[in-house]
Amino acid sequence: MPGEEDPKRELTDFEAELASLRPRSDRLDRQRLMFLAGQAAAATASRRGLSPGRFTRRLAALAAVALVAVGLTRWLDRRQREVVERIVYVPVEQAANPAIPDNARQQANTPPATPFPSSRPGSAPARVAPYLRELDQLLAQEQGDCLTKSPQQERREPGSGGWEVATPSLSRQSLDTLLDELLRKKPHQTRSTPGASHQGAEL
Amino acid sequence: MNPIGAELLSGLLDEHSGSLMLYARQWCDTPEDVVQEAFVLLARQTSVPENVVGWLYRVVRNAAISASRAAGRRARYETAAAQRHDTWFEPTAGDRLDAAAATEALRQLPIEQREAIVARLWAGLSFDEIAALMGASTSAVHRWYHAGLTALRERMGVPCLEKKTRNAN
Repeated sequence: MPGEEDPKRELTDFEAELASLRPRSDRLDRQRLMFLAGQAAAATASRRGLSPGRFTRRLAALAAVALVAVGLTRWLDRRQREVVERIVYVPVEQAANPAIPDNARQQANTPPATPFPSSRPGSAPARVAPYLRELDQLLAQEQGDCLTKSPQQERREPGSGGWEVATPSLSRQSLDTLLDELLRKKPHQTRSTPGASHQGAEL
Repeated sequence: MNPIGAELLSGLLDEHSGSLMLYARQWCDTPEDVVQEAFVLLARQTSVPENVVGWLYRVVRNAAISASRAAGRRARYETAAAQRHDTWFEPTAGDRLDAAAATEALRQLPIEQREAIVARLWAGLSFDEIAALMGASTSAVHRWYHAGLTALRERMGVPCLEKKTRNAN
């Protein structure tokens, strides 16, 4: 109807009136804004100026450095893990010390007394005392003799010598007794080795 | 060469700086900083955005909200906005509507209605663009816009045409 106004039309008129108002922009510094925008654009352009070739070269150099670093790290790590344990035998020469008597020096070099030390397989002959070597020889001889001993001899008292050689559980004292007895029996053999007779006398 | 040339920047600044500042005022009290930041960000772009004006309003909106959050002023700003007396519009003698009255009426609107009206009337964005900008549906933007206009007209005391006709008779 011509008398009635469309509410949308009324609203549109009001919108137009409102839209005719101009927002204030006087607080905006136009010159400064354009300067800052130009600065930002120049900075962006310079960053974009990095050519693809240079970028590839930089990337390759970075990758190479990273690879070297990783390799060195692994090498160091492996090197730390490889601990080689070795037993090193150092020959110690016996120093001539006059303060130490000969018998004490000899006892220090002598290994602990075990039954038949020189009869051990693989034992170093240099470490065996000469009297023990001689004892071994005598025992070997006596062992043969013991096998052929008469039953009368078998009834001898223990500790009087001879019989305990055959048993593996001989004590040092019984061995010494046996050695003395053997030395008395066969003086010609001990005379052939003067060092051995001397040690035997000491024992 | 930078795709965002000085001419494009200058033209956008001439045409939209005022409305962008008005739009930023809905959230923060330093709209000039926000608008300047948006233009500097535009100058940094390697390619021109598809919808430059829409892009600018989005950047201004995000920056204004961030600025208000960072300063912790948003809630205070929205509640105390009516107490401020600086006008958002340039006073013009020939205008039928008073700039100060329009400013006061706008300030008293809810933020959704105010944003929809500013984006539609002074930024010239379509309802779809405003909906995308606000993250709401187009119908919701329509509703906010018309409700805001009605509230504005009542608060500014603008009579309906029917009433005016009756008064004239």
